[in-house]
Amino acid sequence: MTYREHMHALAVAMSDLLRDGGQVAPADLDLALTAHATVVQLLQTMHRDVTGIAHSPEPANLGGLERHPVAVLGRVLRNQPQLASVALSDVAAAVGDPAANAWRDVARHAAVAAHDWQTATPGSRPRGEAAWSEIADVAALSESVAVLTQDLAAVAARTDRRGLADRLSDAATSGLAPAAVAVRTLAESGPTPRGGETVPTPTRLILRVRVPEHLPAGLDRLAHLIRTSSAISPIHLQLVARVLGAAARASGDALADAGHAFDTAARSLREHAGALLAVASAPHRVVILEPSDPGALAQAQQLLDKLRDAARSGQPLPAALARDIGRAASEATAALATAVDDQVRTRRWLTPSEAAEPHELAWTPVVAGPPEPELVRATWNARATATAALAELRTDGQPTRWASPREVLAKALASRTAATATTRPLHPRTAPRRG
Amino acid sequence: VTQPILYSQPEPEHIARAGLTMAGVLAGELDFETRFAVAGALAILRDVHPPYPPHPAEVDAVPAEAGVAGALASLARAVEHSGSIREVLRIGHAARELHLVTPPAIASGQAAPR
Repeated sequence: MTYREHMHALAVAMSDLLRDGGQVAPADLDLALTAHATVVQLLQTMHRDVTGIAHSPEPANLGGLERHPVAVLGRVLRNQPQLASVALSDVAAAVGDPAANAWRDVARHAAVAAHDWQTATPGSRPRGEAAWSEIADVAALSESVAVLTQDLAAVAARTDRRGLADRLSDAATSGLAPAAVAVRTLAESGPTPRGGETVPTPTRLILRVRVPEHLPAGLDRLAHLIRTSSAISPIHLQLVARVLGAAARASGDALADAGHAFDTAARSLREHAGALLAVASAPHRVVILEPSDPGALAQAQQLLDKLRDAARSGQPLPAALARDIGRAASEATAALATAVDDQVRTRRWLTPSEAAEPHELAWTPVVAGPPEPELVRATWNARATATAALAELRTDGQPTRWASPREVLAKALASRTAATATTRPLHPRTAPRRG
Repeated sequence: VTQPILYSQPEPEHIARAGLTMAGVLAGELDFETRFAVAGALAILRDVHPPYPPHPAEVDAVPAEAGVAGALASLARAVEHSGSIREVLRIGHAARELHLVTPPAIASGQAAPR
Protein backbone atom coordinates (compact mmCIF):
# COMPACT_ATOMS: atom_id res chain seq x y z
CA MET A 1 0.00 0.00 0.00
CA THR A 2 1.13 3.51 -0.72
CA TYR A 3 1.16 6.50 1.60
CA ARG A 4 -2.13 7.80 0.12
CA GLU A 5 -3.76 4.39 0.55
CA HIS A 6 -2.71 4.27 4.20
CA MET A 7 -4.05 7.78 4.80
CA HIS A 8 -7.32 6.77 3.15
CA ALA A 9 -7.55 3.59 5.26
CA LEU A 10 -6.73 5.57 8.41
CA ALA A 11 -9.60 7.97 7.68
CA VAL A 12 -11.97 5.05 7.00
CA ALA A 13 -11.11 3.47 10.37
CA MET A 14 -11.55 6.79 12.18
CA SER A 15 -14.80 7.38 10.35
CA ASP A 16 -16.08 4.00 11.61
CA LEU A 17 -15.14 4.99 15.15
CA LEU A 18 -16.89 8.35 14.82
CA ARG A 19 -20.05 6.69 13.54
CA ASP A 20 -20.11 4.03 16.24
CA GLY A 21 -19.37 6.48 19.02
CA GLY A 22 -15.87 5.16 19.59
CA GLN A 23 -17.20 3.19 22.54
CA VAL A 24 -14.33 0.78 22.95
CA ALA A 25 -14.67 -1.95 25.59
CA PRO A 26 -12.86 -1.06 28.85
CA ALA A 27 -10.46 -3.96 28.33
CA ASP A 28 -9.38 -2.45 25.02
CA LEU A 29 -8.91 1.09 26.33
CA ASP A 30 -5.11 0.84 26.50
CA LEU A 31 -5.01 -0.48 22.96
CA ALA A 32 -7.08 2.51 21.84
CA LEU A 33 -4.82 4.92 23.72
CA THR A 34 -1.77 3.58 21.92
CA ALA A 35 -3.55 3.99 18.58
CA HIS A 36 -4.58 7.48 19.64
CA ALA A 37 -0.96 8.38 20.45
CA THR A 38 0.18 6.98 17.08
CA VAL A 39 -2.20 9.11 15.08
CA VAL A 40 -1.38 12.21 17.16
CA GLN A 41 2.32 11.67 16.41
CA LEU A 42 1.56 11.34 12.72
CA LEU A 43 -0.40 14.61 12.72
CA GLN A 44 2.31 16.44 14.67
CA THR A 45 4.95 15.31 12.18
CA MET A 46 2.91 16.12 9.11
CA HIS A 47 1.98 19.53 10.45
CA ARG A 48 5.61 20.34 11.20
CA ASP A 49 6.90 19.12 7.85
CA VAL A 50 4.19 20.73 5.71
CA THR A 51 4.23 24.11 7.47
CA GLY A 52 7.83 24.25 8.61
CA ILE A 53 6.54 25.60 11.95
CA ALA A 54 8.46 23.77 14.67
CA HIS A 55 7.60 26.18 17.50
CA SER A 56 4.43 28.19 17.20
CA PRO A 57 4.86 31.88 17.92
CA GLU A 58 1.15 32.09 18.60
CA PRO A 59 -0.44 31.23 21.93
CA ALA A 60 -3.31 28.78 21.81
CA ASN A 61 -5.94 31.37 22.53
CA LEU A 62 -8.60 33.26 20.61
CA GLY A 63 -6.19 35.97 19.47
CA GLY A 64 -3.71 33.38 18.20
CA LEU A 65 -6.50 31.51 16.46
CA GLU A 66 -7.58 34.66 14.70
CA ARG A 67 -4.05 35.66 13.68
CA HIS A 68 -2.55 32.32 12.66
CA PRO A 69 -4.84 29.31 13.00
CA VAL A 70 -2.35 26.94 11.34
CA ALA A 71 0.33 27.76 13.90
CA VAL A 72 -2.16 27.36 16.74
CA LEU A 73 -3.22 23.95 15.43
CA GLY A 74 0.44 22.88 15.54
CA ARG A 75 0.79 24.10 19.12
CA VAL A 76 -2.39 22.36 20.28
CA LEU A 77 -1.36 19.15 18.54
CA ARG A 78 1.98 19.23 20.33
CA ASN A 79 0.15 19.62 23.65
CA GLN A 80 -1.93 16.49 23.18
CA PRO A 81 -1.15 13.79 25.75
CA GLN A 82 0.66 10.68 24.51
CA LEU A 83 -0.78 7.89 26.61
CA ALA A 84 0.52 4.82 24.81
CA SER A 85 1.04 1.91 27.20
CA VAL A 86 0.90 -1.08 24.84
CA ALA A 87 3.56 -2.02 22.30
CA LEU A 88 2.52 -0.99 18.81
CA SER A 89 3.28 -4.51 17.58
CA ASP A 90 0.75 -5.91 20.07
CA VAL A 91 -1.84 -3.40 18.97
CA ALA A 92 -1.26 -4.20 15.31
CA ALA A 93 -1.84 -7.91 15.97
CA ALA A 94 -4.91 -7.47 18.20
CA VAL A 95 -8.28 -8.93 17.25
CA GLY A 96 -11.36 -7.85 19.15
CA ASP A 97 -14.80 -6.30 18.73
CA PRO A 98 -15.45 -3.85 15.88
CA ALA A 99 -14.33 -0.82 17.92
CA ALA A 100 -11.08 -2.49 18.97
CA ASN A 101 -10.46 -3.60 15.40
CA ALA A 102 -11.05 -0.05 14.16
CA TRP A 103 -8.56 1.33 16.71
CA ARG A 104 -6.10 -1.37 15.66
CA ASP A 105 -6.49 -0.26 12.04
CA VAL A 106 -5.98 3.35 13.10
CA ALA A 107 -2.70 2.36 14.76
CA ARG A 108 -1.52 0.25 11.83
CA HIS A 109 -2.24 2.78 9.11
CA ALA A 110 -1.07 5.77 11.09
CA ALA A 111 2.23 4.05 11.88
CA VAL A 112 2.90 3.03 8.29
CA ALA A 113 1.77 6.37 6.86
CA ALA A 114 4.12 8.08 9.32
CA HIS A 115 6.96 5.82 8.22
CA ASP A 116 6.25 6.47 4.53
CA TRP A 117 6.02 10.18 5.19
CA GLN A 118 9.24 10.36 7.18
CA THR A 119 11.25 8.27 4.73
CA ALA A 120 9.97 10.16 1.68
CA THR A 121 12.33 12.30 -0.32
CA PRO A 122 11.55 15.91 0.67
CA GLY A 123 10.88 16.81 -2.96
CA SER A 124 7.99 14.36 -3.16
CA ARG A 125 6.13 15.92 -0.24
CA PRO A 126 3.30 18.32 -1.13
CA ARG A 127 4.34 21.86 -1.95
CA GLY A 128 2.60 25.08 -2.96
CA GLU A 129 -1.17 24.79 -3.12
CA ALA A 130 -0.93 21.03 -2.55
CA ALA A 131 0.37 21.88 0.93
CA TRP A 132 -3.05 23.40 1.66
CA SER A 133 -4.66 20.11 0.70
CA GLU A 134 -2.39 18.23 3.07
CA ILE A 135 -2.96 20.63 5.95
CA ALA A 136 -6.74 20.43 5.38
CA ASP A 137 -6.43 16.65 5.80
CA VAL A 138 -4.39 17.14 8.97
CA ALA A 139 -7.14 19.44 10.24
CA ALA A 140 -9.94 16.97 9.48
CA LEU A 141 -8.04 14.17 11.19
CA SER A 142 -7.27 16.45 14.17
CA GLU A 143 -10.95 17.32 14.55
CA SER A 144 -11.75 13.61 14.54
CA VAL A 145 -9.07 12.99 17.16
CA ALA A 146 -10.68 15.63 19.38
CA VAL A 147 -14.07 13.93 19.17
CA LEU A 148 -12.63 10.46 19.75
CA THR A 149 -10.56 11.71 22.69
CA GLN A 150 -13.81 12.71 24.35
CA ASP A 151 -15.17 9.21 23.71
CA LEU A 152 -12.09 7.66 25.31
CA ALA A 153 -12.46 9.99 28.29
CA ALA A 154 -16.02 8.69 28.75
CA VAL A 155 -14.80 5.08 28.71
CA ALA A 156 -12.05 5.90 31.22
CA ALA A 157 -14.59 7.60 33.50
CA ARG A 158 -16.86 4.55 33.40
CA THR A 159 -14.01 2.30 34.45
CA ASP A 160 -13.03 4.43 37.40
CA ARG A 161 -9.79 5.65 35.88
CA ARG A 162 -10.52 9.17 36.95
CA GLY A 163 -7.05 10.59 36.42
CA LEU A 164 -6.93 9.28 32.88
CA ALA A 165 -10.47 10.48 32.21
CA ASP A 166 -9.54 14.00 33.34
CA ARG A 167 -6.43 14.13 31.18
CA LEU A 168 -8.34 12.96 28.15
CA SER A 169 -11.20 15.31 28.82
CA ASP A 170 -8.76 18.23 29.17
CA ALA A 171 -7.13 17.26 25.89
CA ALA A 172 -10.49 17.01 24.14
CA THR A 173 -11.36 20.55 25.22
CA SER A 174 -7.90 22.05 24.72
CA GLY A 175 -8.92 23.86 21.58
CA LEU A 176 -7.99 21.11 19.13
CA ALA A 177 -11.41 20.97 17.47
CA PRO A 178 -11.88 24.75 17.01
CA ALA A 179 -8.32 25.14 15.72
CA ALA A 180 -8.86 22.24 13.32
CA VAL A 181 -12.13 23.70 12.05
CA ALA A 182 -10.51 27.11 11.56
CA VAL A 183 -7.62 25.61 9.61
CA ARG A 184 -9.85 23.46 7.44
CA THR A 185 -12.07 26.44 6.64
CA LEU A 186 -9.04 28.55 5.79
CA ALA A 187 -7.48 25.81 3.65
CA GLU A 188 -10.65 25.18 1.70
CA SER A 189 -11.20 28.87 0.95
CA GLY A 190 -8.81 28.43 -2.01
CA PRO A 191 -7.67 25.69 -4.41
CA THR A 192 -6.54 22.48 -2.71
CA PRO A 193 -5.03 20.26 -5.43
CA ARG A 194 -4.06 16.83 -4.16
CA GLY A 195 -0.35 16.13 -3.79
CA GLY A 196 1.11 13.10 -5.52
CA GLU A 197 2.41 9.95 -3.91
CA THR A 198 5.37 10.28 -1.63
CA VAL A 199 8.54 8.77 -2.99
CA PRO A 200 10.63 6.77 -0.52
CA THR A 201 14.25 7.72 -0.09
CA PRO A 202 16.06 4.98 -1.97
CA THR A 203 18.36 2.62 -0.14
CA ARG A 204 20.79 0.09 -1.56
CA LEU A 205 19.78 -2.64 0.88
CA ILE A 206 18.37 -5.81 -0.64
CA LEU A 207 14.62 -5.97 -0.14
CA ARG A 208 13.35 -9.31 1.15
CA VAL A 209 10.54 -10.57 -1.05
CA ARG A 210 8.42 -12.69 1.27
CA VAL A 211 5.06 -12.78 -0.52
CA PRO A 212 3.98 -12.09 -4.12
CA GLU A 213 2.65 -8.69 -3.03
CA HIS A 214 6.27 -7.67 -2.38
CA LEU A 215 7.28 -8.31 -6.00
CA PRO A 216 6.56 -4.78 -7.33
CA ALA A 217 8.56 -3.19 -4.51
CA GLY A 218 11.35 -5.72 -5.07
CA LEU A 219 11.42 -4.86 -8.76
CA ASP A 220 11.49 -1.15 -7.95
CA ARG A 221 14.44 -1.79 -5.63
CA LEU A 222 16.14 -3.79 -8.39
CA ALA A 223 15.72 -0.83 -10.75
CA HIS A 224 17.26 1.46 -8.14
CA LEU A 225 20.18 -0.92 -7.57
CA ILE A 226 20.80 -1.05 -11.32
CA ARG A 227 20.64 2.74 -11.65
CA THR A 228 23.15 3.21 -8.84
CA SER A 229 25.59 0.49 -9.91
CA SER A 230 28.86 1.79 -11.25
CA ALA A 231 29.81 -1.41 -13.03
CA ILE A 232 27.68 -4.31 -14.14
CA SER A 233 29.10 -7.39 -15.75
CA PRO A 234 27.47 -8.57 -18.97
CA ILE A 235 26.79 -11.97 -17.44
CA HIS A 236 25.08 -10.44 -14.41
CA LEU A 237 23.07 -8.27 -16.76
CA GLN A 238 21.92 -11.42 -18.54
CA LEU A 239 20.95 -13.09 -15.29
CA VAL A 240 18.99 -10.00 -14.22
CA ALA A 241 17.29 -9.78 -17.63
CA ARG A 242 16.22 -13.39 -17.24
CA VAL A 243 14.49 -12.62 -13.93
CA LEU A 244 12.82 -9.54 -15.41
CA GLY A 245 11.66 -11.73 -18.27
CA ALA A 246 10.10 -14.17 -15.81
CA ALA A 247 8.35 -11.30 -14.01
CA ALA A 248 7.02 -9.83 -17.26
CA ARG A 249 5.87 -13.26 -18.38
CA ALA A 250 4.06 -13.97 -15.07
CA SER A 251 2.43 -10.58 -15.26
CA GLY A 252 1.38 -11.03 -18.89
CA ASP A 253 -0.04 -14.51 -18.23
CA ALA A 254 -2.05 -13.27 -15.23
CA LEU A 255 -3.45 -10.34 -17.20
CA ALA A 256 -4.34 -12.60 -20.13
CA ASP A 257 -6.42 -14.67 -17.70
CA ALA A 258 -7.98 -11.56 -16.15
CA GLY A 259 -10.23 -10.71 -19.08
CA HIS A 260 -10.35 -9.00 -22.44
CA ALA A 261 -9.79 -5.57 -20.90
CA PHE A 262 -6.14 -6.50 -20.38
CA ASP A 263 -5.52 -8.33 -23.67
CA THR A 264 -3.32 -5.65 -25.18
CA ALA A 265 -1.26 -5.17 -22.05
CA ALA A 266 -0.88 -8.94 -21.70
CA ARG A 267 0.35 -9.22 -25.27
CA SER A 268 2.84 -6.37 -24.77
CA LEU A 269 4.17 -7.90 -21.58
CA ARG A 270 4.64 -11.32 -23.19
CA GLU A 271 6.48 -9.70 -26.06
CA HIS A 272 8.59 -7.83 -23.53
CA ALA A 273 9.35 -11.10 -21.74
CA GLY A 274 10.54 -12.60 -25.01
CA ALA A 275 12.80 -9.61 -25.66
CA LEU A 276 14.32 -9.98 -22.20
CA LEU A 277 15.03 -13.65 -22.78
CA ALA A 278 16.81 -12.68 -26.00
CA VAL A 279 19.07 -10.52 -23.80
CA ALA A 280 19.57 -13.43 -21.43
CA SER A 281 20.54 -15.82 -24.20
CA ALA A 282 22.71 -13.49 -26.30
CA PRO A 283 26.15 -14.95 -27.15
CA HIS A 284 28.80 -14.50 -24.48
CA ARG A 285 31.09 -12.12 -26.31
CA VAL A 286 31.21 -9.12 -23.97
CA VAL A 287 33.28 -8.91 -20.78
CA ILE A 288 34.14 -6.32 -18.16
CA LEU A 289 37.44 -5.51 -16.48
CA GLU A 290 36.05 -4.44 -13.11
CA PRO A 291 34.25 -6.57 -10.55
CA SER A 292 30.51 -6.25 -10.95
CA ASP A 293 28.32 -4.69 -8.27
CA PRO A 294 26.54 -7.70 -6.74
CA GLY A 295 23.50 -5.79 -5.42
CA ALA A 296 21.30 -6.16 -8.48
CA LEU A 297 22.06 -9.85 -8.75
CA ALA A 298 21.19 -10.47 -5.10
CA GLN A 299 17.90 -8.60 -5.48
CA ALA A 300 17.15 -10.52 -8.67
CA GLN A 301 17.65 -13.80 -6.79
CA GLN A 302 15.08 -12.70 -4.19
CA LEU A 303 12.61 -12.00 -6.97
CA LEU A 304 13.30 -15.24 -8.78
CA ASP A 305 12.71 -17.34 -5.67
CA LYS A 306 9.33 -15.71 -5.08
CA LEU A 307 8.31 -15.91 -8.75
CA ARG A 308 9.06 -19.63 -8.67
CA ASP A 309 7.10 -20.07 -5.43
CA ALA A 310 4.16 -18.22 -6.96
CA ALA A 311 4.27 -20.39 -10.09
CA ARG A 312 4.46 -23.57 -8.02
CA SER A 313 1.52 -22.54 -5.83
CA GLY A 314 -0.76 -22.43 -8.88
CA GLN A 315 -2.55 -19.41 -7.39
CA PRO A 316 -3.23 -16.83 -10.12
CA LEU A 317 -1.83 -13.39 -9.48
CA PRO A 318 -4.61 -10.80 -8.99
CA ALA A 319 -4.90 -8.46 -11.97
CA ALA A 320 -3.98 -5.34 -9.98
CA LEU A 321 -0.85 -7.01 -8.65
CA ALA A 322 0.02 -8.34 -12.11
CA ARG A 323 -0.24 -4.81 -13.51
CA ASP A 324 2.08 -3.51 -10.80
CA ILE A 325 4.57 -6.31 -11.50
CA GLY A 326 4.44 -5.61 -15.23
CA ARG A 327 4.92 -1.90 -14.69
CA ALA A 328 7.83 -2.40 -12.29
CA ALA A 329 9.52 -5.00 -14.51
CA SER A 330 9.26 -2.68 -17.52
CA GLU A 331 10.74 0.21 -15.57
CA ALA A 332 13.57 -2.02 -14.35
CA THR A 333 14.27 -2.97 -17.96
CA ALA A 334 14.55 0.70 -18.85
CA ALA A 335 17.05 1.07 -16.00
CA LEU A 336 18.96 -1.94 -17.32
CA ALA A 337 19.17 -0.45 -20.81
CA THR A 338 20.40 2.86 -19.37
CA ALA A 339 23.04 0.92 -17.45
CA VAL A 340 24.18 -0.65 -20.73
CA ASP A 341 24.39 2.83 -22.27
CA ASP A 342 26.61 3.87 -19.34
CA GLN A 343 28.88 0.82 -19.66
CA VAL A 344 29.32 1.51 -23.37
CA ARG A 345 29.83 5.25 -22.89
CA THR A 346 32.48 4.70 -20.23
CA ARG A 347 34.12 1.96 -22.31
CA ARG A 348 33.90 -0.55 -19.48
CA TRP A 349 32.65 -3.35 -21.66
CA LEU A 350 35.02 -5.11 -24.01
CA THR A 351 34.42 -7.42 -26.93
CA PRO A 352 36.86 -9.54 -29.01
CA SER A 353 38.68 -7.45 -31.55
CA GLU A 354 38.02 -8.52 -35.11
CA ALA A 355 41.30 -6.92 -36.16
CA ALA A 356 43.34 -9.36 -34.10
CA GLU A 357 45.08 -12.31 -35.59
CA PRO A 358 42.92 -15.45 -35.55
CA HIS A 359 45.17 -17.20 -33.02
CA GLU A 360 45.30 -14.17 -30.70
CA LEU A 361 42.65 -12.88 -28.38
CA ALA A 362 42.56 -9.10 -28.15
CA TRP A 363 39.77 -7.00 -26.72
CA THR A 364 38.38 -3.70 -27.84
CA PRO A 365 35.86 -1.47 -26.05
CA VAL A 366 32.25 -1.80 -27.09
CA VAL A 367 31.19 1.47 -28.69
CA ALA A 368 27.80 2.79 -29.68
CA GLY A 369 27.10 2.33 -33.35
CA PRO A 370 26.95 -0.71 -35.57
CA PRO A 371 27.95 -3.39 -35.37
CA GLU A 372 27.03 -3.54 -31.69
CA PRO A 373 27.39 -6.90 -29.95
CA GLU A 374 24.13 -8.83 -29.94
CA LEU A 375 23.84 -8.39 -26.17
CA VAL A 376 23.73 -4.60 -26.55
CA ARG A 377 21.32 -4.72 -29.47
CA ALA A 378 19.00 -7.11 -27.63
CA THR A 379 18.99 -4.85 -24.56
CA TRP A 380 18.02 -1.83 -26.64
CA ASN A 381 15.23 -3.87 -28.21
CA ALA A 382 14.05 -4.89 -24.73
CA ARG A 383 13.92 -1.20 -23.81
CA ALA A 384 11.62 -0.55 -26.79
CA THR A 385 9.29 -3.36 -25.74
CA ALA A 386 9.35 -2.05 -22.15
CA THR A 387 8.26 1.37 -23.38
CA ALA A 388 5.42 -0.22 -25.34
CA ALA A 389 4.33 -2.30 -22.35
CA LEU A 390 4.37 0.73 -20.07
CA ALA A 391 2.22 2.67 -22.54
CA GLU A 392 -0.32 -0.17 -22.60
CA LEU A 393 -0.36 -0.50 -18.83
CA ARG A 394 -1.06 3.20 -18.49
CA THR A 395 -3.99 3.14 -20.93
CA ASP A 396 -5.48 -0.17 -19.79
CA GLY A 397 -6.78 1.32 -16.59
CA GLN A 398 -6.66 4.55 -14.70
CA PRO A 399 -4.84 4.66 -11.38
CA THR A 400 -7.17 4.52 -8.43
CA ARG A 401 -7.80 7.88 -6.89
CA TRP A 402 -8.03 7.42 -3.17
CA ALA A 403 -10.45 9.78 -1.45
CA SER A 404 -8.64 12.22 0.79
CA PRO A 405 -9.00 11.83 4.57
CA ARG A 406 -11.15 14.96 4.81
CA GLU A 407 -13.53 13.62 2.14
CA VAL A 408 -13.82 10.31 3.99
CA LEU A 409 -14.35 11.96 7.35
CA ALA A 410 -16.73 14.74 6.26
CA LYS A 411 -19.99 12.84 6.75
CA ALA A 412 -19.05 11.14 10.00
CA LEU A 413 -17.72 14.40 11.45
CA ALA A 414 -20.86 16.29 10.47
CA SER A 415 -23.10 13.69 12.11
CA ARG A 416 -21.00 13.53 15.27
CA THR A 417 -20.80 17.28 15.57
CA ALA A 418 -24.57 17.53 15.25
CA ALA A 419 -25.17 14.72 17.71
CA THR A 420 -22.77 16.01 20.33
CA ALA A 421 -23.40 19.72 19.87
CA THR A 422 -23.37 21.47 23.16
CA THR A 423 -26.85 22.19 24.41
CA ARG A 424 -27.71 25.60 25.83
CA PRO A 425 -27.64 25.64 29.62
CA LEU A 426 -30.47 27.09 31.65
CA HIS A 427 -28.56 30.35 32.18
CA PRO A 428 -25.69 32.07 30.31
CA ARG A 429 -23.52 31.98 33.43
CA THR A 430 -23.45 28.18 33.29
CA ALA A 431 -20.84 26.43 31.12
CA PRO A 432 -22.37 24.09 28.53
CA ARG A 433 -21.89 20.35 28.99
CA ARG A 434 -20.23 18.38 26.25
CA GLY A 435 -20.77 14.88 24.97
CA VAL B 1 41.78 0.68 -29.61
CA THR B 2 42.67 -2.81 -28.48
CA GLN B 3 43.27 -3.57 -24.82
CA PRO B 4 45.61 -6.54 -24.58
CA ILE B 5 45.82 -6.07 -20.78
CA LEU B 6 42.72 -8.18 -20.34
CA TYR B 7 43.48 -11.86 -20.47
CA SER B 8 41.02 -14.66 -20.39
CA GLN B 9 41.48 -17.67 -18.16
CA PRO B 10 41.65 -21.14 -19.70
CA GLU B 11 38.29 -22.81 -19.82
CA PRO B 12 38.31 -26.43 -18.57
CA GLU B 13 37.50 -28.81 -21.40
CA HIS B 14 34.19 -30.17 -20.12
CA ILE B 15 32.97 -26.77 -19.02
CA ALA B 16 33.79 -25.43 -22.48
CA ARG B 17 31.95 -28.33 -24.08
CA ALA B 18 28.89 -27.86 -21.87
CA GLY B 19 28.93 -24.10 -22.52
CA LEU B 20 29.15 -24.45 -26.29
CA THR B 21 26.40 -27.05 -26.28
CA MET B 22 24.14 -24.71 -24.30
CA ALA B 23 25.00 -21.85 -26.66
CA GLY B 24 23.94 -24.16 -29.51
CA VAL B 25 20.65 -24.90 -27.76
CA LEU B 26 20.04 -21.16 -27.33
CA ALA B 27 20.68 -20.63 -31.04
CA GLY B 28 17.62 -22.76 -31.86
CA GLU B 29 13.87 -22.26 -31.46
CA LEU B 30 12.90 -22.79 -27.82
CA ASP B 31 9.90 -22.42 -25.59
CA PHE B 32 10.11 -19.78 -22.86
CA GLU B 33 10.89 -22.15 -19.99
CA THR B 34 13.69 -23.99 -21.77
CA ARG B 35 15.32 -20.78 -22.95
CA PHE B 36 14.97 -19.38 -19.44
CA ALA B 37 16.69 -22.39 -17.89
CA VAL B 38 19.47 -22.80 -20.44
CA ALA B 39 20.32 -19.09 -20.54
CA GLY B 40 20.52 -19.05 -16.74
CA ALA B 41 22.63 -22.20 -16.59
CA LEU B 42 25.07 -20.86 -19.18
CA ALA B 43 25.44 -17.48 -17.46
CA ILE B 44 26.03 -19.12 -14.09
CA LEU B 45 28.57 -21.53 -15.56
CA ARG B 46 30.56 -18.73 -17.19
CA ASP B 47 30.36 -16.17 -14.37
CA VAL B 48 34.10 -16.11 -13.67
CA HIS B 49 36.77 -13.46 -13.48
CA PRO B 50 38.99 -13.19 -15.48
CA PRO B 51 36.49 -14.34 -18.10
CA TYR B 52 36.60 -17.48 -20.13
CA PRO B 53 37.35 -16.93 -23.84
CA PRO B 54 34.37 -15.59 -25.78
CA HIS B 55 32.00 -17.85 -27.61
CA PRO B 56 32.03 -17.65 -31.41
CA ALA B 57 29.69 -15.07 -32.89
CA GLU B 58 27.80 -17.80 -34.72
CA VAL B 59 27.05 -21.18 -33.18
CA ASP B 60 25.23 -24.03 -34.92
CA ALA B 61 21.84 -24.74 -33.41
CA VAL B 62 21.54 -27.90 -31.35
CA PRO B 63 18.18 -29.64 -30.72
CA ALA B 64 17.03 -28.81 -27.22
CA GLU B 65 16.52 -32.24 -25.75
CA ALA B 66 19.80 -33.71 -26.98
CA GLY B 67 21.63 -30.48 -26.21
CA VAL B 68 20.46 -30.26 -22.63
CA ALA B 69 21.26 -33.94 -22.08
CA GLY B 70 24.70 -33.44 -23.59
CA ALA B 71 25.34 -30.36 -21.47
CA LEU B 72 24.35 -32.22 -18.32
CA ALA B 73 26.69 -35.05 -19.20
CA SER B 74 29.54 -32.61 -19.80
CA LEU B 75 28.81 -30.90 -16.49
CA ALA B 76 28.98 -34.24 -14.72
CA ARG B 77 32.42 -34.80 -16.26
CA ALA B 78 33.42 -31.27 -15.37
CA VAL B 79 32.68 -31.96 -11.71
CA GLU B 80 34.94 -35.02 -11.82
CA HIS B 81 37.78 -32.92 -13.22
CA SER B 82 37.08 -29.83 -11.20
CA GLY B 83 39.94 -27.97 -9.58
CA SER B 84 38.14 -26.16 -6.77
CA ILE B 85 35.11 -26.25 -4.51
CA ARG B 86 33.99 -22.94 -5.95
CA GLU B 87 34.00 -24.42 -9.43
CA VAL B 88 32.04 -27.46 -8.30
CA LEU B 89 29.40 -25.22 -6.71
CA ARG B 90 29.11 -23.16 -9.87
CA ILE B 91 28.75 -26.26 -12.01
CA GLY B 92 26.18 -27.69 -9.60
CA HIS B 93 24.20 -24.47 -9.67
CA ALA B 94 24.21 -24.44 -13.47
CA ALA B 95 23.13 -28.09 -13.60
CA ARG B 96 20.29 -27.36 -11.19
CA GLU B 97 18.97 -24.70 -13.55
CA LEU B 98 18.98 -27.20 -16.39
CA HIS B 99 17.24 -29.84 -14.28
CA LEU B 100 14.40 -27.46 -13.40
CA VAL B 101 12.76 -27.83 -16.81
CA THR B 102 14.34 -31.00 -18.08
CA PRO B 103 12.11 -33.98 -18.90
CA PRO B 104 12.59 -36.81 -16.39
CA ALA B 105 14.37 -39.03 -18.90
CA ILE B 106 17.07 -36.45 -19.43
CA ALA B 107 17.27 -35.42 -15.79
CA SER B 108 17.87 -39.01 -14.71
CA GLY B 109 20.71 -39.33 -17.21
CA GLN B 110 19.04 -42.07 -19.28
CA ALA B 111 19.14 -40.02 -22.44
CA ALA B 112 22.52 -38.48 -21.83
CA PRO B 113 25.06 -39.38 -24.47
CA ARG B 114 28.32 -40.69 -23.04
